[in-house]
Amino acid sequence: MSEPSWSDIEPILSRGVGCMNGMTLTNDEGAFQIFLDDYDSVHRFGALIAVVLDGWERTPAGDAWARDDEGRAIPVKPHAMPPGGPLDIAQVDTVKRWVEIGMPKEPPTPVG
Amino acid sequence: MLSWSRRLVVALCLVFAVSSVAWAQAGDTPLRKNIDDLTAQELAAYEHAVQILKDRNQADPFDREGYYWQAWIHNCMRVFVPDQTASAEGFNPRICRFGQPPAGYSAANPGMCEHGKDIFLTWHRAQLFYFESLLRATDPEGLTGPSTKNVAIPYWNWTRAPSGVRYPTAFEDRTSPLFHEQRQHNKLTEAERRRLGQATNPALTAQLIYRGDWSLFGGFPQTHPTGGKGVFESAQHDAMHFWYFGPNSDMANPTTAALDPGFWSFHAYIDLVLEFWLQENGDGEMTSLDQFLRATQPKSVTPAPGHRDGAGVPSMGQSRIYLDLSELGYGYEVLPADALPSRQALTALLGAAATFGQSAQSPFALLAGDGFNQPELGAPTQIAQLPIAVTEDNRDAVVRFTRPGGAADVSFGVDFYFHPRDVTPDMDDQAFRQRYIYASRAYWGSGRTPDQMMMPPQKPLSLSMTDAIDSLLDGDAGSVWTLTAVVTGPDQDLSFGTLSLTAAR
Repeated sequence: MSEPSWSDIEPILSRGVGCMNGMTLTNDEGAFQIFLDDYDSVHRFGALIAVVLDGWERTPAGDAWARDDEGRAIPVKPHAMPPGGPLDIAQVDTVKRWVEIGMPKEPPTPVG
Repeated sequence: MLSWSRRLVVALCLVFAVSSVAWAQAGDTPLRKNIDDLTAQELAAYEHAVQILKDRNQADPFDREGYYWQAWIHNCMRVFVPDQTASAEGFNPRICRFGQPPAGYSAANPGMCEHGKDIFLTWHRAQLFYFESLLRATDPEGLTGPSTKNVAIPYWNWTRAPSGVRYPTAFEDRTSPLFHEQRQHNKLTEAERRRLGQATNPALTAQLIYRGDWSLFGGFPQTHPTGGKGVFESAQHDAMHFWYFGPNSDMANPTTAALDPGFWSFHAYIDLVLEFWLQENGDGEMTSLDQFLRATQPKSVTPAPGHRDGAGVPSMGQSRIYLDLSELGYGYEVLPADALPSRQALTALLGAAATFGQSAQSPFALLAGDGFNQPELGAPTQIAQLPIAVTEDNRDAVVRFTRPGGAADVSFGVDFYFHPRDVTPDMDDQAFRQRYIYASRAYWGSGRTPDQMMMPPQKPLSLSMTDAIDSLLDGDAGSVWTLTAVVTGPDQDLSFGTLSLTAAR
């Protein structure tokens, strides 16, 4: 399976565009309005985005979200996102992998 | 009537406390004083300055040098500013928004406050720095009232009994701009006073500071995979916000809190606690000092020395420029009664509780009381339990109380009692509560449902079991104890939250 690039990530984050776009986040570089449909903006806060999207308890196998007795997901990290419940776990893993490999904008060039 | 433990703490404070300290430079540096110790002239000057900020909103509710905008810097990530000047008549300042503005409006980002992370304390210090600067600039020549050039935000030491019915008398003068209708005004009942024991007892704060663990005291970086709030923010700041001022008060909600003029003095004491930390520990352990602090402040205010905006939009600069009061142009006058208990006093106090569960009062009970849940104030919302073995493996275990995804963002407190498995918890039995209470945590919510907010409401409350396990390992290794979590808050169904144990931080 090929490594993710921005074209794989943008649709995953699109759900948050309506409410998050334009909000102010900060890091060691400055204060920035975040735009979840803009590569540069997401790249700037990629590590934070991955942490909050992954802020939900997983089953012991790690391949599904744990649920309470009412079937609800359990946030385990501060600011777990989205507010109403986690994204599909495969989508979150894609975002995490993308951050791990340096958040490439373009798909990797095929070798050979 | 104070409990014997509180009388002991007070007595030890008086014997061992640091003598009056003025943390400021010589000369004209304004000193933040206890609001009860202001002279009549000093109080009048502060009130005059606050009133001027409020009056600016009569002309323009969106004036960045007006009271509303300064409050929104704390309260609101976003407001919608009308393209035409808004009418002040009937204007409701409780207008935080998210998303995109409708036609005829533009979006502006006043703030908002940083909570649940390690820049909580420096962000609020920066906010108060700008607010105080604006106050001083309101009428420095004294043309319409007392000169405001040396105004300093007076602190309210809420760990001491109030000078008024429920607040400092200065807050209770209905003719004063410091008065606010949207607060609870009745005298604290004895049960309420016990409920707020940990929030209003300086011994717990002192223990956190002397322990010197920054993340425990001040919180974790925003990218930390598990950590969030420090204990001072959770157990004390949060509980004060939604319980002391009343569940329907403006202070009870993060999106309206700073509309109450008491907010500034409340947070000035919190800023003094940060100063206690810095005096005791320095800044070496503090994290995220290079992180910028968001807010859209008026350009008329001279920023703190060392300020730079960094990339992106204007900000209050980096956290690290807010560590030296001499650079920031203010100081504190700390009277003996406002000083923290000394190390010797704490050692003497805690000596009676060497092994957890063996004494009539646990270390937490000695420092702070027997929990948020007080029987006279009603039944708990939920009781959850978790068995925990006293083993080396569990030394680094972290207990987490979480709320389900999609839940409304309500405020609540959790008392954690740790007791032998064969002991049945009885919440009506104060002896049980005093003996086995391990810690308390609070969560300060907005009251909104997820579709009404941009941040998830279920920030977990975390608790390290290290201290209890360490205390028990020598004599009771291998036994299984029970952690009982007692939730106090709004009426909810029994699935209000989940208690779980993770292996390590």
